[in-house]
Formats: sequence, C-alpha cells, structure tokens
Amino acid sequence: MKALPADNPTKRFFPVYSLRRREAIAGYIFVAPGILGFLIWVFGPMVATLLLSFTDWPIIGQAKWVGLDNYVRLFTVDPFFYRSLRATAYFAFGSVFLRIVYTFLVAMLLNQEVHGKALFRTVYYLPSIVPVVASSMIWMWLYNPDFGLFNAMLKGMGLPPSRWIHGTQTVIPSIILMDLWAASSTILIFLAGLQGVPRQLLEAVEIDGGNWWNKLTAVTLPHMTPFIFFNMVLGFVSAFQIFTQSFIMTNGGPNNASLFFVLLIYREAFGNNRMGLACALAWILFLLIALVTFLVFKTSRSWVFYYGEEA
Amino acid sequence: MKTEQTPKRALSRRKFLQLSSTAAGLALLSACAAPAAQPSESAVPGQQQILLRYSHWGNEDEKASTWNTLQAFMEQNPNITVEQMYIPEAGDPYLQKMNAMAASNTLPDGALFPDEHTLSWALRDMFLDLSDIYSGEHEKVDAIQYRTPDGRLVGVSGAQEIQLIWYNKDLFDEEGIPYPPASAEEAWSWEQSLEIAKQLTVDVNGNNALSPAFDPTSMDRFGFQMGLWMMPVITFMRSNGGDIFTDDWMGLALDKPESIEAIQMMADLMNVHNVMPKLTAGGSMGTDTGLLSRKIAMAMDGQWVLETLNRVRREEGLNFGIGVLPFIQDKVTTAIGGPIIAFSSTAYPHEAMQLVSFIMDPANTPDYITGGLWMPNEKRWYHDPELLSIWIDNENHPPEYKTAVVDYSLDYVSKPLPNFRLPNWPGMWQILNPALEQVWLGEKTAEEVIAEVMPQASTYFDTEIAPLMI
Repeated sequence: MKALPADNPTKRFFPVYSLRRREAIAGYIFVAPGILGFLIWVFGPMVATLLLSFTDWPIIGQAKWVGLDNYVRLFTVDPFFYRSLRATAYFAFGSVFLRIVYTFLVAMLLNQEVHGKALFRTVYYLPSIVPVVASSMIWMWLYNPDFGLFNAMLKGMGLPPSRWIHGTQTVIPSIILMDLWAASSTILIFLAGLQGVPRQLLEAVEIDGGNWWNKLTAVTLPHMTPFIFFNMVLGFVSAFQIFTQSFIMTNGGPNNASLFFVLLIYREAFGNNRMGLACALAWILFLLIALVTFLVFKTSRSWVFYYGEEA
Repeated sequence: MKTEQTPKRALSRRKFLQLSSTAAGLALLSACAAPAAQPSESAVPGQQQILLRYSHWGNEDEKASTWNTLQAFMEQNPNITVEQMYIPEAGDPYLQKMNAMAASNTLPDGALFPDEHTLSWALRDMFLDLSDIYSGEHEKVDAIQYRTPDGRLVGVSGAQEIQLIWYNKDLFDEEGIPYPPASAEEAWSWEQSLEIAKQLTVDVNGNNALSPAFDPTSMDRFGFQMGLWMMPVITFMRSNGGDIFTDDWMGLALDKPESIEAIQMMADLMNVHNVMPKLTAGGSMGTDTGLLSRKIAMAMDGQWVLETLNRVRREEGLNFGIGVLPFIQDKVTTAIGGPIIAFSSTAYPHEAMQLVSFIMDPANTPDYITGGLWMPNEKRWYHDPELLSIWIDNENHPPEYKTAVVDYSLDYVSKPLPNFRLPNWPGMWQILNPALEQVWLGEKTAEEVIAEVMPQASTYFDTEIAPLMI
C-alpha cells in the first residue's frame, strides 16, 4: 500500500490555520468540557435560583413574581429561619475550630517515627471512606440513650448518662463529635504539610538548645499556617452545608435544635413545595459562606506565613 | 506467534477517541428525549394501543407484587400497556420525583401518592375525581378516603392500616403475665396497661419498674414503645376526648384540656414511669428488632408490620401476638395509608381511572392482602365471609387477627386523620412536633408547651389552612 503524501491539503476537511491558532483552538476545546459544565450545571442553575428566589413557585403550577417577599418573610416572620441560622453557625464554628486543633494534634502524632505508623495512619483514615449515611446509622446506636455504648461508658465511669442526639442541648456537640471522627481528610492535609517543615530549621532550634515546645511554636506552627488557613476555609464551606447527619439521625430535632440550614432548604423545597423560598434561603447561605470565607481571607494576612516570603 | 505490526489498523487512536466521544455525546442527547406516551400500532386490530404509566414506592417484594397486578390488568385490557415506574424510597424522595415530573410535564397517569401531600396537590387540581368508580360493591372504607373541602374524592388508601399492639408471646409466658387483649371489648385501660408495662420493664439487675431497687439509668428492657409521630399522638389524644383539630376541621382543639392531658400522659411513660425508651426525633427501635431482641415487650405500631414480623417469625422464630390498643376514655384506633390516585394531566382519563380502580380492587392485589402488608380498602371484604377467608385464613394471619384487627377496625377506627382532609397539614406538624419534643424530653409540661405554641399554630391555621377549606 502506497503511503499518502504527508500533508495533502486537498484531502483536508478543515482549513489550514497557523500553528498558534490551531493550538488556541485545541486549548479551547480541551477546556470546553470544564467551562461548559460550569456554565450549564453551576452558573445556569445559580442564575435560575436567584430569579426563582423572587417568585412564589409551588413547583406544581406557575411561578408568580413576588419581588422581595421571600426575603422579607424569612427575616421577619419565618419561625424557622433564625433558629436554623443559629444551629448552623453553632455547628460551623464549633466544628471548624475543634476540627483544626484535633486534626493538627493527630497529624503530629501520626508524623512521629513509631512502630506501626502505617497502621495508625490507616486507622485514622478509615472513617472517611465510610459513607456518611452508614456511619450515621452506626452513631445512632452509639448515641442511643438507653442501650447505646456511650452511655454505658459514662455509666462505667460513674458519670450521669446523656441524651446525646436526643437532647436539645447535646445534639450539636454530638454531631460535632461525630464530625471529628470523620475528619481524616484534614489530618491527611496536615500530615502532608508537616512533612514539608524544613528540617534544617528544626535542627537549628535544637542546636540553640530549644526544646519541643520551641520547635513547635517557632518553626512548625508558622510553617503550618498556610495549611491551617486552607483547612479553615474548606472547613467553613463544608460545615455551613452540613445536612446528612441531621437528615438521617434527628430530622432537625429535638425542638429544631439541629435544623441545619440545608435541611431547612430541603424541607421548604421538597417537603413544603415552596421552591421560591428555598431558593432565597440558598442564596442567603451562599452569601453567608462567601462572607465567612472573605473574613477568613481578610484576617489571613496577619497570621498566615509563607516561607521564603518577606515578613 | 509474533504479533504483526499492523499497517492496516482500521482506526487511529485519535479517530477512535473522536468516534467514541461522538457516540457518547449522541447517547447522552438521546437520553434527553422526553418519555412520550405516544399511541403506537395496536396489538388489537381496530383499537388504539394505549400506554399508561403507574408509579409507586416500596421494597423489592412490593415491586414484584405490583408488577403481577399490572400484568393482570394488561391481560384483561389488551389495548393498554402499563409501564411500571418503581421509585424505591417513600416519603420526601418520592415526592421530589413527583415534583420534578410535575415541573417537566412528565407525570405518570396513576400513582401511589405520599399521604400528607395529597390534599395540597388535589386543591391544585392535580388529580381526577374518583367518586364514580368507588360506588356499589366497590365502596371503600370511610376513614381512608381523601376528600377535598368541596367534597371531591381524589383518592383512597391502597390499604387501610390501623394502629395495634404487638408483643412477644414467649416473653409474656415466661413472666406469667396475661397477653394484651385481642378484642376491643376486653381492652386494657391506660392504667391497667401501664401496670403491666411496669412489670415488664426491667433494669440490668433484673428489677422491674415496680421494685424500689429499680434503676432507670441502666435499662435492659422496656415494657412499652410507640413512635412519637402524628398517628399515635392523635390516636391517644382522641382516646382522651381531645384532638389537634375540631370535628368540623374548622379550628384547633389542641388546647382543650383533654388534648393536653393525653400528651402529658404519653410523655410520662418515658419521664415519670420509665416504661418507654426516651427517644424523640430520630427513629426508635424497629418493632421487629425490639420484640426479637426482647428490649421491648409491647410495641404500638401499624398493621403493616405484620409482613415484617411474619418474616422474622419464619427466619428467627419470633412468637408474636396482636392486641388492641389501651384506652384512656374511649376505645379508639386510627387508620392511614397512601392513596392511589389518577393524575388529571393524563391523556387517557378513562383508562387511567380503569387502572386505578383495578389496582384498588383487593381481589387484584392478592399478594398484598394475604401476605399481611395490606388490610383491604373495600368495605365488603370485612363482612363477606368468603372474601374475609381469602384475606385472613392463611399462615400470615394469626388466630386472634379476626377480633384484634378486623372487628376492631370495623367499630373503633375514629374519624380520618388530618392528612385525609387538610391541605398544608405537614406545615402544621412542623410547628407542633418541635413543641411536643420538649414535652417528650421532659423539659416542659404539655400545658406550658401548648400555651407557647398556640399563637403560632393558630396563625398557621388561619393563613395556610382555613382559607383553603371553604
């Protein structure tokens, strides 16, 4: 078989462009799935929800333009809005700060040269591969006030039992505890960060006669601030969107103490058929997360340290 | 053998990728096409072939049983093909699917529908009026009819399901305690049943709730359990002469002393008498697990658990029994069940109603009836000895079933629950439930909580329910 000429313009289906142009076209084609995906599946729905948030749309039937009514209703008469906001903020701030302290400590422990290091690391990582629905079912049993393991342990230590997820005061701390247990991805990021702390600086502290505390505060912590910052931002973004745990275990109760924001959105949209109101809630949540993220970024300049950057 | 470096390779890698992505794209696009119910060429000469869609929830067994029923319908009506839309999850996920289909104009023709949303949808004219097909011998049980304020009958529960007492017979035998009565005439009073529950409530040291050494913080077994949801709560409110709504549905009866007292009596089971698990929102222990593990001696639950308990009996040897509910002032139970409806958007109203009427005939859903999951929705099944025998004379229905369930339901099912009459009822429960949870937790008394919640409940009733009731 005779080979065709390498570049036969008459056989070409597309016109010939310059290399630069061809590369540009190829580039756009390659990024197109991502951009289109964003436009169609994220940006489009966002615009739609913004518009819907100004309507009264029961899903069955036509949407009716009501201006700012949904927002006014939420901020003035809605019986669940502020409760839900409070519960979500309580959870978010509680879980993010505890999560950072706890996972940082665990990451430092897992960074020690000990026998069975791999085993420990695996054990701490395992919870994150358990689906939240499955772990929620297990934790429901652990938290059972009458037959649960936790109350049996408290009793064994001579302490009074708790209502855990069935008490208005204890439900959010209980969900935070459960969230800590599953925080292994944060541990992983810290662990990666700890391995990048410059060894020569740690050695320098040792030579100068510093102890572990000096090493931690003068070298490790400053170098870890970018990771703490990153985990804090991600932590807030996901904590404000908590849903599954209360959906499965408490359904927002008792007495709406765990009626998280996303659960309220879900209930208004799909339980009460108030899609307009739910869209307004979703936008409030979006702005809230944006605000918190902005504040974290804003303060970061004063406490996040990048190695090699001038102070 | 040496593999040939083939110059005649049909596809370059680039070409392959191009083709396969094109194919994938086309496949995606084709999936976007709406499932149209187009009439196709007829299987029966001279008749138009009609496609109907019927959606329902349930477990795998229910899926198979429903398919059998649909097949029987198609055999009787060769010009109609019914497509089964099976959505495994009941409740909110199912409703979401209905919402999505309503928004995209792809609703099926007939469906099993979430009970508490039925009236709200009906008032938006989403369902056909079924009054005509449920007359004569197909007259349905009164308490399970979904009626709009203007009197349209938009659906009837596929099954009547009433509240009963379920218990572990072996446990009662060992303790030498008489079984919960299986007929309403002998029903225990609240006090009697509380006394029995105390005898059956035992801590880890073996002391029962009547013993002075009883330690309620380390429990081994509870004498009683009920789910604290709308149905049991309303049942005992009515048993005490109270209710959430007035008899004409035009106002609230929640703050009547009888209603408040009943709520307090239920809460006291947990917080004063310690005979019931202290659970609130998140689900309680299933009746099957509770009875089998002997953590629960008596459980109040719907007739629908019969099917599950029968399976546990066959697989694990659970020896269970059925009793009627204890009563406070009046002997009362309540009935519930998701309705089977026909959507008004159907292109074939006549055939859709035919389908609904077929599924609603207990004779056409034998698996459900004899298996124990459903009580028939039709009046004559409770009176006609022949039909009654089909229903209960089998191994899935224990001997006491006739008096404890059939007769009990005939005489003691009170008026319909709110989901059969009131639009926007779920929103009311969303207000009441958190308030009641404070009573269940023992944080406040029923009196305090009802006084606190009444203004909000009244406002909701006046703005979201009452205007739709005229």
